[in-house]
Amino acid sequence: MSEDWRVPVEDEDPLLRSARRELKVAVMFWVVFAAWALGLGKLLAYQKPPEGEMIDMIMGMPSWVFWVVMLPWFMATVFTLWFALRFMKDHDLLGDSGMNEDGTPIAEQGVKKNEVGEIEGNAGEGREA
Amino acid sequence: MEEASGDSSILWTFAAYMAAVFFLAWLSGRGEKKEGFVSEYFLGSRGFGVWALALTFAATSASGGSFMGFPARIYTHGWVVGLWIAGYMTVPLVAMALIGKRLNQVARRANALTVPEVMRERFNNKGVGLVGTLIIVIFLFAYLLAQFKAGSLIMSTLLKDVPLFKASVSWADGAFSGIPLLGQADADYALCLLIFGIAVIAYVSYGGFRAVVWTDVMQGIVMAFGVLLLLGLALYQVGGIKKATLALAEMTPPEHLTAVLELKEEAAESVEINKGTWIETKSADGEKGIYRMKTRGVIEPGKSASNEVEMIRITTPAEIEKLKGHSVSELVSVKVIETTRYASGAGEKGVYVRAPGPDLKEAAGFLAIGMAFSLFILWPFGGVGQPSNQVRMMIFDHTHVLRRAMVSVAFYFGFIYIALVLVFVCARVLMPGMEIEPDSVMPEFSTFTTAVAGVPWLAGLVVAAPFAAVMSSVDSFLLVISSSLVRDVYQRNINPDASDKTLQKMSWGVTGGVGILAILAALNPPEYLQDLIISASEGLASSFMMPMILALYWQRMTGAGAIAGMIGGTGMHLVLNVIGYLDTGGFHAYEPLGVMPLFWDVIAATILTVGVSLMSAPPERALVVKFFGKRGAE
Repeated sequence: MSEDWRVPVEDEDPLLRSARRELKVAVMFWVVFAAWALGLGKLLAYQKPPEGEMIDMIMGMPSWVFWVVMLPWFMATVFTLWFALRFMKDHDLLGDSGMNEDGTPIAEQGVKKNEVGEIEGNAGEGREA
Repeated sequence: MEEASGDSSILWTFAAYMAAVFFLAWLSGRGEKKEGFVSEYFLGSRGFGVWALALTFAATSASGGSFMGFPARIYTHGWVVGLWIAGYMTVPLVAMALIGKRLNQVARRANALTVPEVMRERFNNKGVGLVGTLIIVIFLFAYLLAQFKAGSLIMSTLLKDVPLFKASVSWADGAFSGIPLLGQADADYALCLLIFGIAVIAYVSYGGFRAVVWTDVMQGIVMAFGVLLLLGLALYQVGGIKKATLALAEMTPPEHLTAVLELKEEAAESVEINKGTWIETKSADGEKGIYRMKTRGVIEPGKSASNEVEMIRITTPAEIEKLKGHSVSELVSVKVIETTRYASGAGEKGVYVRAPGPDLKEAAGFLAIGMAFSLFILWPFGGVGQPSNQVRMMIFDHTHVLRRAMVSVAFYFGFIYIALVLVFVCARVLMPGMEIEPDSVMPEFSTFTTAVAGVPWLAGLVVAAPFAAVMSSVDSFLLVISSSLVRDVYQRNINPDASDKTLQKMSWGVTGGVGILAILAALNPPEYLQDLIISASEGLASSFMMPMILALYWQRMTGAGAIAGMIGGTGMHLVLNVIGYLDTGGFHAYEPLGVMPLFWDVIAATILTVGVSLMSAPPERALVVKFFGKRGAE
């Protein structure tokens, strides 16, 4: 079958390529934290303590809540912070609707950003090109 | 136990909140308009910043369920609800990063303002847009009903002891009687529904998307502030979370009873025992029984026994000691007809501090591990599939706005949900007997803690939190429905040359019309409404999640594949619900391998989207280049 309809990977939009890369990491992130919370949860949360034994607590909550909910939630937030501020790449979006940053049509002033709309360098600072 | 105050200051605090909502909506309506009416009204001209995106996303995601149903679950099942909600730790990253910037780009290239329009333009296929619109309208309308109901219930709980409100209810009782639908509903509920519904319809119709976003921002702040206040009060009053956990570890679930109340002698006049009344009885051997009425009981004159009533019996010794002396009467005795013990956890100490948690109906407990897995899928991926979330991915014009909003939402959700778990673990200890109506534990606990703290007027602000959650969801759903009808059906299919003025009138009319229909339907909501909400939420996610993800990332996908995927996801969802209904006789979807329907719906939608796309002719090159090629390549 002819593949004439296809856009080769090298001709794909840079935003698409970076979004695809980020999608893969987001799915891996979900797998890791689901495995942590549910795997450890199965081991710790569903166990009945021996008769007469005091409940095991950390910071005033059942210890399983700390290991299965609080700690992974904290780590997931830290990861989200890294993902958003360090890993995710910035792109100009206004150009996709045919506008410059100041709201003027691109045709009037030309594209102000680089050719493909990608902002080079570290995304973490969220700066414009 | 102290009762909620009848102080009218609650009413004024609440009125101030409503006034702020209207002021913000009015300001939004007066703001600078960058684009034409439709783009401004349905998408706010796409130029929102970090806090607007973060708080409108968070506030829209947190609906009445988060502030009514979720606290009820913590109260009823204990610490295990921490695991139930744990999937939310992945929501900000998964729900926003998976499609955020790519959907924004595709929407801009398509010049699309709504989710069905993105799909329609992506495949240049009218059918895709119309199927998407139909699914949105059906499922979101069910959602809308439930949120209207929740908003009215919160309002009536909050204001029930306020003299002005009581007087208004007496007036409404007379005024509404004889009016079809209105007259059949309880006067307090109908009055609150009308006030709440008309308020929301007014500001959404007037201000459009910009008003929705800015009121969401305020509502998001109110929600955080309300939860923070409640957390402080709850922890202080219980004496720290450690004390609450230790008390919970000693608790056993109450018994649910059907009973008849008996007097020693025939009643001279009618005796009414209202819902919520505590009753203390002493058995022959002197043992105390503490009961709470779930339904109202009446002993007619000349009789010594009441009608059959529903009630609960407290079984935890520490609670029985605490409640002694708070009961209304030792004059009546309780003749038990039927006792329903918890199917899981009855009589067992420690069930509130470990999984799977006690459950009245499920022998496997509240949260079997299969269900915990389902929820870990539902929260983040269900969030990806919600059109009201998807449309929020189209409102920023720089990706750094998305990145920073993601961080803000991560902290926001972390705080809100963990704080709510802590608050309602404390509520279980401080305010026993709420099993009679768990869904009202949030407003009841707010009025209780503020009354105990001697600041009853603060209840207005605290209860404004769930009210804000409901309002921020209702306004978003209302606008998603009306935008689908006006933009995708009227403008794109019936009258493409409609002027801005015509579209303006249409938008106001449709928003108002849909809102009024929802109010009328909510006057007499269907019996299984809560189940309907969950089902509608899953249905939307199953219809839109995979077709949208594949549409954004897979070049080979076709319009036929999109339609098959959307219908397939919805179809599988309906089939599992029908099998569940036939099996149980109730609104309970069939769950193969103990996993929620969403999982199977998504698999069906994926197989159908991919399969039908591969079987249909490849997409036009121009279309693929437009959405996948570098800018300007087309």
